[in-house]
Amino acid sequence: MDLSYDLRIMENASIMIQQPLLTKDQYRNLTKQIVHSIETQFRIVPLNSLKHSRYRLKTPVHITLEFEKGLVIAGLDDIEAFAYADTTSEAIDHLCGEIVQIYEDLKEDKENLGYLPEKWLRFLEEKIECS
Amino acid sequence: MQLKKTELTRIFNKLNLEVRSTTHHYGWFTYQGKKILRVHYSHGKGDIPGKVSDKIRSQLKLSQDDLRELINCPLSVADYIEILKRKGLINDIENT
Repeated sequence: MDLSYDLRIMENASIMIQQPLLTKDQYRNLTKQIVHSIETQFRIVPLNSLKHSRYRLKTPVHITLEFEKGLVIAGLDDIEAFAYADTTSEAIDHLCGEIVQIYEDLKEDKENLGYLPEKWLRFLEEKIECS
Repeated sequence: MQLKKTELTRIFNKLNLEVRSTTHHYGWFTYQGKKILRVHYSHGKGDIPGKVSDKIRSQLKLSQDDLRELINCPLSVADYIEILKRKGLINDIENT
């Protein structure tokens, strides 16, 4: 067994490990680019209001915003609801309408809900209050 | 995967989704009188953007292959109900 050969390999490996691949500035720029590219495709934001005269949120819910070819898709994954439009504010407005519509549909047919709609109604009842 | 609006209409007709059009367009998949799933509906012509198509597929609880089969006919409504049962979205009690 050639021990000195093994040691040489280990020495070279340790030199390679210590050598940074990027400078601090390059690392910072790369991080910025990654964050920017994620933010331009996907974002999670709080929704504070349903923008409705009868219904309001007891606590904010977190919605997702996805961007694709000039289109914004707003979604509330807890109830598998989404809406899309040309702008963020329109997409959020449509999503608010969707949430209210789902809530009213589920309440109207409370006795005839399958596994998922039952779960959605429980979630919405925790979050929404009627004035 | 990108859906065409005509394909979405075909799915709605095939699954006999109860379409509602107020300010929002959507359909409920019902089984033995119970609401099981809700699917977003889009008006107009042309293709539905990729991410939106994926969300519709996810609302239908189907894999890409199964969705293709649903559109192109090999997957029947009975097969679709079987898939939902396997996934626990329609249970035995609802089935009786």
